[in-house]
Amino acid sequence: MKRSVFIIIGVVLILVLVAVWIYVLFFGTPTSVDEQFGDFGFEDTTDTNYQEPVVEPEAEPVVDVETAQRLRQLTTQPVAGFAEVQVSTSTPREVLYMEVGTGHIYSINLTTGSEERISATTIPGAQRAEFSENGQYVMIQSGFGSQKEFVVGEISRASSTLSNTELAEPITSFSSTNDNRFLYSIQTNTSTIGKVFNPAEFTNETLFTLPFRESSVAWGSDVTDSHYVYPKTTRQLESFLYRVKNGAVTRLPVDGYGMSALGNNNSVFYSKQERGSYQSYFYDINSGAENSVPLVQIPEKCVMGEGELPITICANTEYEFSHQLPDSWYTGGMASADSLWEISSDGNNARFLVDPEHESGRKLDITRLRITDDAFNLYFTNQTDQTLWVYERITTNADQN
Amino acid sequence: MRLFFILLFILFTTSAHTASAQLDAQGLVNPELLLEVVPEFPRPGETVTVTLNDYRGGTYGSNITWLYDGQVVGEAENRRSVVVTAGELDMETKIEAVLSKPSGGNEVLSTTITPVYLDIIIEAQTRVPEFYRGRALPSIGSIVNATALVNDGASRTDLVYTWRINSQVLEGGPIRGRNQVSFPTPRGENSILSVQATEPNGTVLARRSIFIPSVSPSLNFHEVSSLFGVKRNPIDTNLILVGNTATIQAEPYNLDIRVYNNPDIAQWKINNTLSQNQGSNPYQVTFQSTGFAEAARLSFQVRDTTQVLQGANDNIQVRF
Repeated sequence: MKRSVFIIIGVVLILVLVAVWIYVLFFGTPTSVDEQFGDFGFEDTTDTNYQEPVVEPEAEPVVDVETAQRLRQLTTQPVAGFAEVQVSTSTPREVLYMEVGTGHIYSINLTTGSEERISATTIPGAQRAEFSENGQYVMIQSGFGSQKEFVVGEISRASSTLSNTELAEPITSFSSTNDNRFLYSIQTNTSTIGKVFNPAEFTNETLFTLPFRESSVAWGSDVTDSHYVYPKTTRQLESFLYRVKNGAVTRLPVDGYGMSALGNNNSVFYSKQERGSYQSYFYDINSGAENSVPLVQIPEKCVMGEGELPITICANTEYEFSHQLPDSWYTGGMASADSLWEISSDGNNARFLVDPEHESGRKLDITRLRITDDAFNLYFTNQTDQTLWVYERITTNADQN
Repeated sequence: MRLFFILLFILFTTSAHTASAQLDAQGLVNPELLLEVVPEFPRPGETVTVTLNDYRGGTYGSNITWLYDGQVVGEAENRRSVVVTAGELDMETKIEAVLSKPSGGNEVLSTTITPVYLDIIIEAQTRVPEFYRGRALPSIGSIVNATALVNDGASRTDLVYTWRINSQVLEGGPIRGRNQVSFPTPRGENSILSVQATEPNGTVLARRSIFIPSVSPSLNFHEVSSLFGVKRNPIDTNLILVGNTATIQAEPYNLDIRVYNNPDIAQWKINNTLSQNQGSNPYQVTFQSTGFAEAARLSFQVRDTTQVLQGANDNIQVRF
């Protein structure tokens, strides 16, 4: 092809482009909004309530829910408090937990195993937390000693912030109830006062007063349940068990050196030093009968169900120097490799559940046990690193043993 | 008249003689023959031993029958003592010993067991770490608060309390409504604290005695995380330093709270050299690995200079 032909074609193209540019510059202004976007021919909708679906980034499962393991580690970070909740009947069950130090709250979906942070409100030095039954409120302790502070936060699923209300009282222990209230005890110069706080109405009322201040409280699941109060435990001094029910304080025939206890409305499980060794007992409140438990258990490493499923599950280690219990365990200086045992309601039989060291390869110092109302899942923390674990006591998977 | 004297004679020679085992009743009348109850003021459900003490020999050859609320205790027939279980709180149980003499005639000794709770709660004003679930113990010179609770944990303000530590009466004598006392921990490993609660009419309701231990203060070392706070598990004897620095906290146990809050001596030493890496908290030190060729010895001491036994010191090895 001749050179002149190329030049002519090039000039024509340049003229066309200049003409297009001049047209767009002077006549190409869209007269309506529709002209700004191309019509790609997708189907339209006449539904005025239609909302564009929000595509959320797919959450990576952090908990393995596929394998046939009944014992699972749920977190790698230390946990200040936890609860299994179901916000509504249409939503899956989830585990809420608060991270130590930051106070951030996370949710683990028990169906998919995915984790989501639902509160990014930082609570510096968060140490302990208790969630309400419906997962709407959380009571938090942050700091230690004179720096200790207590707040009740309202969890909002619409935002990632926590609405906090400070409780300006010298709180020593706290727990949540089945009806979304919080039980707590405070310390005065000469007494221990038990109270209940309603976070929905910001009201509180006194449940009991006992004339000593160094107390441990084993709270019931509800305000009207039995609560057990005793002077803090040491193997070198005697403790005495007081039962509080509906405001009335009753001294139970349970006492002894190194005595600590937990209980429900019908029975009490306790341990104490007796003739140089640590012994565990079940006390039936209605009959007054007392049975020795075959395995030595520290009550703070046990959980007791209420109502129709009054099972007791304990974490147990064969302690070498049982005459030093429970003080030696309280200091944190005693090595534990706990197994989980289920104890019959009369205390005569114990059924082996699981050996975490065998299952996971890790030695666990199990504490803060919590069993769900249906007694399916048992949650606990490892005291050494405060990580959260779950054991499926009853499994729906036929492949699992 | 003659018939009347005959009847009186028969009455005094054949009827049983009843005597109380209480010291203030029978003891004055017949101190040589009594029922001794151990423990003297049992708790509900507690095992109680009732012993027939005869210091005059008048029961020689007598048949002894024990009655528990009127029921014969068969296995205790002709025994000097009987073991029974105390009943429920405030429930009176009558124990009787019927002595049937060979010469004829009966003598009945009786006592009443009324179970009572008298709890003594010891609260030492010493310090233990916040995460420690147990109770602080007394150490030499520290203040101890003792509280007496009768039965249901209520403070009976109408009772008269008499407190003794070892042989010394506290508060100068019995005081009405004073169910709480404070005293410094005496010297020695154990002291005996006793309290007697008396009804306003003078009747002794209960009496209790307990041992109060006196322990030596001790120390544990804990790592401190800037995010998570103090780690609960103490450092054994060796700390393997992973990074360049570590913050260590000394946690005294059973140290007098006054000494803890205002120590005369609170010093950290690294290889016997006083550490300068202390901040506002005298119980914390920040340890830096730079400048150490091998393991270092980290020690801490807290002490009162007036009561030198009120203090503790310990050390750990820090390895890199």
